[in-house]
Amino acid sequence: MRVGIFDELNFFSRLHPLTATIYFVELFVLLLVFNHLLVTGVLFVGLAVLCSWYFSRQKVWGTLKGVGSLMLMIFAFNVILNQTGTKTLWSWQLGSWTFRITQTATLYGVTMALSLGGMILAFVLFNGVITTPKLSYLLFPVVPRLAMLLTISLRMVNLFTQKFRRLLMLQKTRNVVLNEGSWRERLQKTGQLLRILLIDSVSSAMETAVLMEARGFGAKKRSHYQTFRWQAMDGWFIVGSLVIFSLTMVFRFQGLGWTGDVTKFTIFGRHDGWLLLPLLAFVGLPLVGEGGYKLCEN
Amino acid sequence: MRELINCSNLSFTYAGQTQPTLVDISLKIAAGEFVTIVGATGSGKTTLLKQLKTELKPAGEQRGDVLYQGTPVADLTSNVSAQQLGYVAQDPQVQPIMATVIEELAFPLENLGYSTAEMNSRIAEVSNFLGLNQFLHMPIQDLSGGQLQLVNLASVLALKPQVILLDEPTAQLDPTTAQNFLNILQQVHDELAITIILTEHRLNRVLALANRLVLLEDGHLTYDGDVSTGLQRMQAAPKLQPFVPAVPQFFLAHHLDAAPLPLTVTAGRRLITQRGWRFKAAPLAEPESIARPANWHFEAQHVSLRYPTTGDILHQLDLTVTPASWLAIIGKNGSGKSTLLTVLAGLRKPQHGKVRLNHQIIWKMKNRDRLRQLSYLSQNPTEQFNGDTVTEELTAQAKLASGDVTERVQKALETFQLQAVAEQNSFDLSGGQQQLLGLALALITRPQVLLLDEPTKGLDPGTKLLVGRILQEKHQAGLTLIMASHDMDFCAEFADTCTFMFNGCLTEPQPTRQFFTENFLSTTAVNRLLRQQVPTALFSQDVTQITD
Repeated sequence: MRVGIFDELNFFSRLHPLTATIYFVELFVLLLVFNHLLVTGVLFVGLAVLCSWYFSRQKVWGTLKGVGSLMLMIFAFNVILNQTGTKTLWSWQLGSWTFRITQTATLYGVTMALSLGGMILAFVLFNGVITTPKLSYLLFPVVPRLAMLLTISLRMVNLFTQKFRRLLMLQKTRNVVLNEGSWRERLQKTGQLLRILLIDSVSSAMETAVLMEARGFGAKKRSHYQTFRWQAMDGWFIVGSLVIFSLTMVFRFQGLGWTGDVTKFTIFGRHDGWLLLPLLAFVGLPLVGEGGYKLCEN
Repeated sequence: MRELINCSNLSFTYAGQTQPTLVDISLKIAAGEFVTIVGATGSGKTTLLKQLKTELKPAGEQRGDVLYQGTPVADLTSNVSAQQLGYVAQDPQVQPIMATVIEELAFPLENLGYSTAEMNSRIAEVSNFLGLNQFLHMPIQDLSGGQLQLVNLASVLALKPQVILLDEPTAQLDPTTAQNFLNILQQVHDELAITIILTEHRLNRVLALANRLVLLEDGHLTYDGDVSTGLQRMQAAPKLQPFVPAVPQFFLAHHLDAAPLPLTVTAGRRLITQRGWRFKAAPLAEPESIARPANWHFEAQHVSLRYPTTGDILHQLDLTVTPASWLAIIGKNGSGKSTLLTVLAGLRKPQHGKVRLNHQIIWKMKNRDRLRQLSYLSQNPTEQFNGDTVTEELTAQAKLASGDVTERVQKALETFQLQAVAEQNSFDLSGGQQQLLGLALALITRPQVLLLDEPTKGLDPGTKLLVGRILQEKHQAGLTLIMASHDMDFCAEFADTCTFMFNGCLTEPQPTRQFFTENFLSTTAVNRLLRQQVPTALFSQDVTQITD
């Protein structure tokens, strides 16, 4: 997990970590409780727009490529494996066995793909907004040891990854090449590389641990540096998101956006239109905040 | 002055060893002093520094006492030790543990239970003092080595220590960054009256700041006193002579009556003008003949490379390498020197352009075939080790080329003075020995081309000289060398052509003497000292004094 992924001067990154966390909890709930094509589609597109707003074009493109391939796979598996749906679109007979592509499987596949794709985009956004310091800040009052462990682990993982990349390149000078030779050789060399990585990382980690102790780690009960302040915009944002979230959930409890029986899936539910406005408002809330933040500029 | 540290009859033997690393050291350090501990690799300077802070003490047997303000260092509570005795390590990467600069500065304060208000005021003070304000929210991994070392210093300073211990803090930094760091250290010492104890073997910058020099030779304290007298003593001892920085070494080598010895170019020039000393160029030695291989070709054409988050690091770069030449590439950190070397070595493929060795595209060659013709030594040689003993490492590498493996391994151990550590694990060697092993691994396959990335980084002057002489011998036998380095003196002494890495390209390579004579900033200290009288002088032996 990196820190400071996008411009620290924007509204979303300035929100108190607790505010941002509440928003993401609501967002993940919304992604889980709807299974209608239109609703999941709107959530996916909304999140893609939100990511495009906050991340660089390169990162968005890279994410969409990754998410797109996963979505295609989910869709393909649903279409191939789900043979119990209604309204056959295409069929193929092989002896006594019939392979069918049904409207139910197709719709369900697209919905699942959009839902999971949206979930990944929401995680990417969460990763950008709830940076390591914020996560540590949130966890410290509840589980201080875990918060510290998380911070250390993330730093170590980062160093480990960097080191692995360098070793992969430099160990070629010792003829440790992972893409040459038989599979057996490749496997042996992978093991060899991991062994070197482990020796090197453990040796650095030991030194880091000594230096932590030299700076008083473990000497006393730790305090925590409070870098985040609650502001009026946090209050407004929480109230706004809770109102829209509650409204959406009321609609959901009235049966909108959800079909329990997959065989009854349709492209567009009779009352799904009612959900679109609150959902768009919810996903677009950070952008509304950005607008307000700009307006408040001197 | 108030006595802060008192070591009396201190001896230390590492666990599992029979010979002591420190022998009967007695040393008193008063508050406000700036002490530089000097010694060759393995002389025990880092071991001595680590005895002064209990958390850093290595496993082993200690005799004698180490007192801090009258209390044995081992009896200090963690709280007092952390608050009063700060420590900055050699490698800037190993100290940081948090994700951002501000968190890293808060880390020691959090450890000692400070309130947020107190932390705020301390962090504000330290970051203002060291000019870290604009970096506070930057991720640690995005900082350069120099910035990182400054953060490490700031993190220690936040605790308002009485003493700061620094173990070769500039060894991993380029000269400009090292100078900036030392300037800040001087500010810390002068304005905050903090006691500084620093180990170092690149003395050209640090001695001007120190008011006391401590010499260690094979674990014995052989000198403790003022800098000027210490330098005279070092010049007289053959093992320590290479440690004397170029400016005072010039005055000592020419037996010029200078007391105290000038330590900077400005002070040296002023003294030469005051005394009216005049110099002329000495006759230059004829260059040794070099065996040049025939039918050999190595070139890079229109090479462009960019990383996902950067612009072009290499931009339409061209380079034709003359057989059996020694080319030095000089440039600032981040200029792309290391990237270029990895591309030339076939370890990284650029987006555009080709690198050809004997008409074969380098990254398309079979790895083993490439290794028989070309070797590469990274600036961190441990990344090329496989974690076995020195002999096993050399044997594995020797098998990649034809010929008698055992004979070559024995020869390498002898040439690189590694016999004593032949059965030790490569990761347990000292920095200098690791560099020598890295070089031995690179040369044991008898390559035609050797690519070296900062081969003198972190080396003491004695080891540096040894590395230079070994490479010179191989060069005269026909080895082609391409070397990226910040070390002007090393480049001037050994390379035969030099070039600048700038704006993703290389400037036209020039013969070394012409290159350094024409440069104004990137040249040797002796050239800067004497360029008004002898513009072609690069070293003290290049001139003789005119005596009327």
